[in-house]
Amino acid sequence: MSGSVAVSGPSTSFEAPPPVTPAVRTAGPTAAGQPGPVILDVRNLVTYFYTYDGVVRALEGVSFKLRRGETLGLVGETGCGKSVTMFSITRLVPDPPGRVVSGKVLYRGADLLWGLDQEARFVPARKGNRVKVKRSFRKVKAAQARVGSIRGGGIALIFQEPTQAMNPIFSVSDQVSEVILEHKGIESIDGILAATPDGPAVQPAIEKLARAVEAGDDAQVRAAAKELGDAVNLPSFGTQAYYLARQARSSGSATVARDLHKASSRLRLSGSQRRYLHSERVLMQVARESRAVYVSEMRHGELERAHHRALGRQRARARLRGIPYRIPFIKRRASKPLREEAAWKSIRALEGVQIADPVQVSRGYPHELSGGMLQRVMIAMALACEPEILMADEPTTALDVTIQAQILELMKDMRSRIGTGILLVTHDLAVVAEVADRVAVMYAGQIVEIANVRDLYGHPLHPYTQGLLSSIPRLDQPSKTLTTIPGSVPNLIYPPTGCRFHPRCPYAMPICKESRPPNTLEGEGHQVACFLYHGPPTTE
Amino acid sequence: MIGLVVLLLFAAAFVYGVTYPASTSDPVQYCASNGPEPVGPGNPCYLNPNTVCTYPQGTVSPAPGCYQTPSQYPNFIAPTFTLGAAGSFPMGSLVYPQSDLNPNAPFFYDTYSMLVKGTVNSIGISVIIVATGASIGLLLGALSGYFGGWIDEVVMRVTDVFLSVPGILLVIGVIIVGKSAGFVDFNTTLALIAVAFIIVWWPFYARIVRSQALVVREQRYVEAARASGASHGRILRKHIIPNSVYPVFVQMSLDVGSIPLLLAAIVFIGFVLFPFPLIPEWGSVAAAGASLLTAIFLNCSAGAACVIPWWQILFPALAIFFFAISVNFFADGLRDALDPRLRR
Amino acid sequence: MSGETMRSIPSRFTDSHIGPVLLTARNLRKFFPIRGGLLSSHIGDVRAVDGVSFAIHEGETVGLVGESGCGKTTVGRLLLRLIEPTSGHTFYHAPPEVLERVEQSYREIGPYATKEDGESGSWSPKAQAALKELDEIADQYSIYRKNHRAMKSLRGKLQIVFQDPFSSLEPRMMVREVIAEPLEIQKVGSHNEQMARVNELLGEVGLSPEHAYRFPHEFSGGQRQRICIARALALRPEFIVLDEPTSALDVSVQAQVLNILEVLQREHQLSYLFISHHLSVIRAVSDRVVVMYLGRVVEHTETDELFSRPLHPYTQALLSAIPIPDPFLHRERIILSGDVPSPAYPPSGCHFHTRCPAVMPVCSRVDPPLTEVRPGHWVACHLYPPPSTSPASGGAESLASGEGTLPPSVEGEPMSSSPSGALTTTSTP
Repeated sequence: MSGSVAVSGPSTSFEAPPPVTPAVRTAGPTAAGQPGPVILDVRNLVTYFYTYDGVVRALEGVSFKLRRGETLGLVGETGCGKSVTMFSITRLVPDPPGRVVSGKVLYRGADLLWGLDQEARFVPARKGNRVKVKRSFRKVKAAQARVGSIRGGGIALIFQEPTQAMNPIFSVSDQVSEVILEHKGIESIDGILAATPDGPAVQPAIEKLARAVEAGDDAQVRAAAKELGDAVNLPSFGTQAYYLARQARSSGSATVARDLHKASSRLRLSGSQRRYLHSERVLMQVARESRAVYVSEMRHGELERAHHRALGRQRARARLRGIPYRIPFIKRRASKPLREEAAWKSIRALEGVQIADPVQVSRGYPHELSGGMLQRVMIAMALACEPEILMADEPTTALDVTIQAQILELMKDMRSRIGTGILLVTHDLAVVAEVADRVAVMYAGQIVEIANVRDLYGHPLHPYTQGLLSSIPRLDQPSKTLTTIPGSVPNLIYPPTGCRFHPRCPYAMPICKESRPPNTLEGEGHQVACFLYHGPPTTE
Repeated sequence: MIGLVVLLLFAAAFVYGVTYPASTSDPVQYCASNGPEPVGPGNPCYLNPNTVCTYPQGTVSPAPGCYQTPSQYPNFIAPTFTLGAAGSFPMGSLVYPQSDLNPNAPFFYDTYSMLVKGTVNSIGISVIIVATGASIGLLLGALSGYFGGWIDEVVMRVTDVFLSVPGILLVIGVIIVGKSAGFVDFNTTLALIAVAFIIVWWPFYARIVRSQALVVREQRYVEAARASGASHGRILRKHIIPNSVYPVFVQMSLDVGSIPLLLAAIVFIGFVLFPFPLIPEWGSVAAAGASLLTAIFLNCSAGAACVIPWWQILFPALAIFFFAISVNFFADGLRDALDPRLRR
Repeated sequence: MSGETMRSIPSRFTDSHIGPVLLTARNLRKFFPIRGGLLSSHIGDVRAVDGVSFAIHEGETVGLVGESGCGKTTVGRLLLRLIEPTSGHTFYHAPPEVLERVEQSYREIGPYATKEDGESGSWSPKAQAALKELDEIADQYSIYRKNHRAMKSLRGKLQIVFQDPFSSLEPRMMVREVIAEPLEIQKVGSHNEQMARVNELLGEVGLSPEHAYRFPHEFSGGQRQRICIARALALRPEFIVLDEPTSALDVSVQAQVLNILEVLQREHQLSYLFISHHLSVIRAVSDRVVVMYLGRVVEHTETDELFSRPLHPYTQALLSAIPIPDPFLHRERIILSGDVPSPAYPPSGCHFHTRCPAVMPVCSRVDPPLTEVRPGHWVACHLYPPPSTSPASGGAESLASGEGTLPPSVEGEPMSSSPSGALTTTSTP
């Protein structure tokens, strides 16, 4: 949608600064092209928090659909429930005070919230608004296990404060490798086992790389490194070769060749390493199968206890056989190839998010990196497992404006390259205008309007959306007076009856106080929940 | 809030103890009766609060009557506590054949009166210790936390010095030195112990207050006050100290529970070293009871029938136990109620 | 700014609501020492503010923009003397002739403005005299030279509203105590008079008298920020530093607070320093804008001029980086590479050269001075070199008067007197 200039160099003339006022108004379909099939279908999500002061009705019937390759922006002010929505979908709501009361979340046909009604009983207490929730923790734990198998692999999450989201005692490489091994471990193991460091094409490829290093051409070096990776039959070895070559650049081609020989010799597995890899593979295979079982449980709505028991036995057996590898000294030696492979894959992942010096960054620790860099690392971790859905909770709020621009460009780039569906939760309408394809506006736990980005900003229908858009100071319209929405956000323990916006709405009618407005379709894909509009009803 | 109720009971006991007339310096008339049963209406010792039931070990029991100083019954127990018409009930009492003041005259110490008087001393001393220690610690901690720099360094090093002194040893050392120097008598012993405790205790408060002051100092409202021209003194008085004092309250209430324990332990040890004069304090009551019990056990193993005065140990120990527990409950409740952010 | 520049400012400044100069910050520097090593010795400085100069007139709003780490918060506190500067002056209520003399003195001394250099004795007599004159003026007008009592009475005139409405109010104090506190500190009025004033102030910010008896935690963020504003107004200030007052608030509440601030400014003839990193908000409220990067001023001009004709590459990048809530917009965005450098190890020469899309070789060696490229529009960038002016009132030996080229021995490496912030004017005879 917009281009970017990202390098230094006296290229641009600064006599005429870039226009800030709109230059081109484009019409037509969004750049993402035709939206794909629905991958996430949220229906009637209801989440309450049972606190000492009463029941906080945080979400009251939230529904929307997310399609493959589409970015859905969920906007609203503080306290409207957008983060709670994200957590409710993935069952990350803190369960003692909070509880997803009802709703369905269909992901790949599997209902992530299956089994909700069996997990808790609600007992209204004697006084006032308080309700006692009796939970069956066994069932809750089982539900967490089910959804946990989807989290990370199918649905990846990014949170708000990048400086606090990572474990400070592990290096970046360790943390990204952990994610890679968790979800793509089997591929890594297969790759190592299939590697042929003694193949006929390896030696000539090493020499070619050494010559390319001497020639000093970066593109040549890259190509030669890739060839070497292919020759060894392990793509990440190409990454390793590239960085080794760059490091040894100054010392000459002989050093390069020697380092590469050493590196490739590490790929010749010893017996114990091979055995370790096989035992790990069995464990990962069992994990993968149990994930599949969880998904099928959620899809068909029946517990498959027998299957779980069988898998549990397999797991126990594999763990038993793997006991020798728990001894620290042996484990270090035996797991070395796997850890290195994961480390090089993590460097590839960091390259993918356009980090300039991935080797240095990956060796470092989270406290050494700035917020923008950490957020990129988080995105790399999220995308390393190639998820279908990426949920981002205010990913750029804690960052500076110029860094935010970098991250947003990155996300747009990722979207066009990989095609994940993104659910972007934020309060910044400007960010959403830049990145999203569709926007859902939330107020006090309900979605009041969903539309394409252009329709929403072009002709907002709901009074709240209109008020919100006109109260933002805009860079390109300086003389506009800022309007305010009178009143304040309601207390969700005692929410207003009917439409929750009616106390502040300039167009309030008597019916608004009585019943909740239905969701009506007003134009292509544009839905509003307001009594002012009478289009055909729909629930997305 | 159970703790609050029990604490109130103790407070009542404190008041009672202050007004209790028993004083160890009064000569006490004891009335001896016969047998372990409570004294009935026919007995001349009935209604006399200083009645002693005698259990002579292998001697002929004396006739009921009034005795001034029953020195011929060295290992005794059970005087009675007369509750008017309801009869008299046996309480423990402690008899020592000697004392500093009058080497030849034994003293009777009624356990009950000792406990009551001891309430005064135990609770009173610990309150004084905690209050003084907290005040010193509050002041120094607030100053060092707020100003930082060299003041902070100096105060912290001083507290480090004091913290490195092991408390109990210091107190015992103080007592020993005081006694052997001979310039302490009964009243000042307690004062000396109190001072020793305060010396040991104030650094804890200083540290707590200092860490709070460091946080409060960075708050925006302090900066706003400075922007309006507030002097350092005003900021300390009105902002830093009031906001740093919550954890001090909690710590104080906890200490009021634990100091009697320590005090009892020290007096216990001190009692073994210095039996006289007997400070009416829970710890000394328990200690005396313990030594009496050992003596009785030794005698009982000789074969004669004996009554084990279990109450001599039990009641003082129960007093200490209930006091500490109730203080703990109270401190928990106080912490929950006072924490300004927790309730909202 | 000096009297000369006042004349060169376009007609907007003849608006009635903008008066003479209230505060002039001149060459402000604040370095925070870094202690390290075994003996906690002084191994370096975090150069939070490195030579910042600008002026604020009565009744105007100056917007101070920059990203995190650029020192704008520190500048705000320096102007109020909540922190002491490492060097530099802030002149309060100095008449234009005095400011003129200040400018002349700086032209003699050059961009070196510290006492230590003068005492080193390597300067010409004229420069030394100029330094002495500067010193005298500072004694009279600079807020950093005022004694304790004078400062205390000055505090009422210079107030601040903070960013975080939650920690700005003491949770144990009732609202009326909070607002009355400045009055109590300065011992203004009896108790009844103070309470009357509290009610008056509450009315001005749109709260009602019954709110006075509640505690801060019972209010929403926007209301708390209004209480902070009421507290700042208690002593009838002339100047208020607004340190990101709406960053912690929701968008709709932000609009309320900004409207109140505008009304109050007009009623009481207040001057504001509006610190923020949201350029769209700055555009809506400010008359003039100062853009800072890593402790230095990079651009300084009127609001409209800045947004329609940004000259410094950093400003241009900043403007293009801000997302606009309009999906129909198609614009060329300048995406800066890399991260903001740490203020403890700033790059040499122009601090921005490591990320600048238009970097030239000179940028890493020499630090560009702030020059008036167009009337009323000051930029510190080598793309706009100042016209070569002969050193004023000759005799300033090896010291160039900050004309942008230093003697080759001076690397432009930050020393205690690194050149920046000298306001040189194009001589318009």
